[in-house]
Amino acid sequence: MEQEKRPEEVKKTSARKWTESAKKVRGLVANMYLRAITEDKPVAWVMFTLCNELFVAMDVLPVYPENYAGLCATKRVGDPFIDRAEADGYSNVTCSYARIGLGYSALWRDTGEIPPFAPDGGMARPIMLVGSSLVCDTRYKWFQAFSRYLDVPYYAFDMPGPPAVTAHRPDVREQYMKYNLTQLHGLVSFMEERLGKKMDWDKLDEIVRRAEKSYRLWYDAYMMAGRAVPCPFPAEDSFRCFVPAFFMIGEQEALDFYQGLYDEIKYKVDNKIGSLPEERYRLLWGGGLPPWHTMGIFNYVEDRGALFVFQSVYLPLNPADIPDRITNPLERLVYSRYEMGIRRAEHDRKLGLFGACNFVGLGNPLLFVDEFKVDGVVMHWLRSCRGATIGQIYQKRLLAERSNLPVLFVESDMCDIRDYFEADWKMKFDAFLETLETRKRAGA
Amino acid sequence: MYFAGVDIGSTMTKVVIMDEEVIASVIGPTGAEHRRLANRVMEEVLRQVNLPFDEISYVVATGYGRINVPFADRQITEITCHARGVYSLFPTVRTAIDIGGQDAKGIKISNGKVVGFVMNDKCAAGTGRFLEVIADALGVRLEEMGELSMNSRNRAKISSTCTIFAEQEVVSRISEGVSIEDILAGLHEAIASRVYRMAERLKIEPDVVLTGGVAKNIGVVKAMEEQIGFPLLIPQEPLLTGAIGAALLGKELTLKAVEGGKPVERGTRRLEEATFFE
Repeated sequence: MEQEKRPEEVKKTSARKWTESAKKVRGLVANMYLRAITEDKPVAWVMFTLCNELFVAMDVLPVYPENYAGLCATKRVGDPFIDRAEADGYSNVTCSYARIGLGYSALWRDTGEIPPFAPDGGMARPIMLVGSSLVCDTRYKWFQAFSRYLDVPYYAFDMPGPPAVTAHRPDVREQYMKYNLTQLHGLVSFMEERLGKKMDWDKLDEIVRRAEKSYRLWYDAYMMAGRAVPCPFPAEDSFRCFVPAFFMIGEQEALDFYQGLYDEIKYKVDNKIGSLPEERYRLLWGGGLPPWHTMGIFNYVEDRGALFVFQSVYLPLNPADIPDRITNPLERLVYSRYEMGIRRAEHDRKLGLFGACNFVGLGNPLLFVDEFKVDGVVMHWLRSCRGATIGQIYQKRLLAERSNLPVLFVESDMCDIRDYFEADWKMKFDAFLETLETRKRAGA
Repeated sequence: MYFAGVDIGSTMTKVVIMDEEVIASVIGPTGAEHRRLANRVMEEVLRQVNLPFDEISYVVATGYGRINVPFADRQITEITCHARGVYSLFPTVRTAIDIGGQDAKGIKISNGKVVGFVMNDKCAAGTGRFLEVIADALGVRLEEMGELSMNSRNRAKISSTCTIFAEQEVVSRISEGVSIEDILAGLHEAIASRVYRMAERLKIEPDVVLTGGVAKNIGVVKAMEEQIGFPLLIPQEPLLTGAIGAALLGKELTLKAVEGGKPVERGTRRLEEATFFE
């Protein structure tokens, strides 16, 4: 029986944490799943859609299968879920976030119970599924499949971003904002129908404004850390600390978390407290999701004097100052998302790039290499994530043309450990650091 | 002074001893047992020149097995060592392509220094292992594949670059009556195309030096030249460049320390078997 297959205990593979804030994230995540199971509140399975505020306002507990897949990978218990999804015919190059969630749902359908080896008690049974077109194409079909496995209604809404070259035009902006607003109204109607109650708009307004403050603190904290020499907040910590912003935004706990993060980083920056005694090489994780299954690899690099001072993947977008005339909370949501998107696109446009405001801007690494005093860039080719991988060769060429920085590619997957080859990664990191040393000595 | 370079690759172990030039070298299979017994390869090369181990001023280990060499003073990756070795043989080199037993790599070199590199992923296609599997399937010796392919009149199209699928494709070509020479020519084109695509990410520039065991296959060399568009330079012994580079880097480290009046930082050398679980 598939569901009886229990992964063996594995040695710890996570990275050491450099900040007190990063240490708190594990507890927040565990509580996110626990409360969904134990509290008497409706649960929704939601994609990262930049509208968590709506769920908070409606007293719905959102559970994010993307986050859960990362959790399974971190604990190295993803394999049985992946195996189950592949047994149902999903290809091994289908997004591994999706495969873990699909395998989880299939196992649940097989037995009528949460798989016994699911970490943190598992994902609670939802009463609705919500997804959007944001980020990548797998997402529509992925949640549609959940809906069939779990027999739970699914609402998908569209959230397009305009091409970078026209995003700044007032007519384009107006058109996209109107369209996105319509889509969010549709989501609110769906939730109201499912929950049998109306949206409390005053409450939503309060939550949206709280989220705006959280985004600002998040952005300021990350940027301050990236610029700092020495850096107190390396990439493995920032790969943890994005979690409240993605999956808890709008909650008081998220705001408190980012206030704490900001204060901690500011204190360390002001007092020049870095992570390593000497930052021999400052690196940028410039593309591709991290290897959640082996985050300890960051420590391997650190033990050799190199620090990833920033990651340009799960990063905050530059928050917009929303004009006072916009008082409707849904309009504020739409305005802030659009403006955050086009700020990045605007940068791309100035660089002569042709990205789109889809939050996966092609120019990302270039945004940071100068300001953050980076010596080299590492990108991760992900076997099962086209969206985060497709532009990397282009980005490498841009980096070569405009910054002359060396770029290292490593290959594996964000969750599927079968695609990871540790000896190869270590050899590549060693060789890359030797190359950086040679450049340093040559005064490049 | 004498310097040794030890290159423990996935398939072959290579050791050289140098003073001003290479004075002795040994190439032997790696394998699980041989990896543990790299000390014996070292002893063999020392016997060639009748030198005691203590006479070796510095030992650098490289290759995938470099970590487990108890008699090395230092480990340096094969990327840096290959680049140094190739540069010593061909000072005009700008691009080095190494096709080994289980990996392929491209190295961009400027004035003897590595400025960028790429490697294949863990797939065996585009490596020597690919040729070994096909040699088995065709019943020909690895060493004769290159020459045989030069007699091809109508190169077969091998569409797959996956080792397993290519093996199946070869079997089906045989059943279609395609000659072994034409199949081999097609395979060499497939491997050259794959390696070219990988190395071109660095923007290949002349002079290009091809190293590794596969550089001994004239069929692959010709196919690579066809892909790249200009002739390749091949070392007299293309398997030894990593070990030569390792020895040269050891020499540079030693001389730099001596010139600076500093002690040479050596490892705790033990000319004994590797133990993997210390």
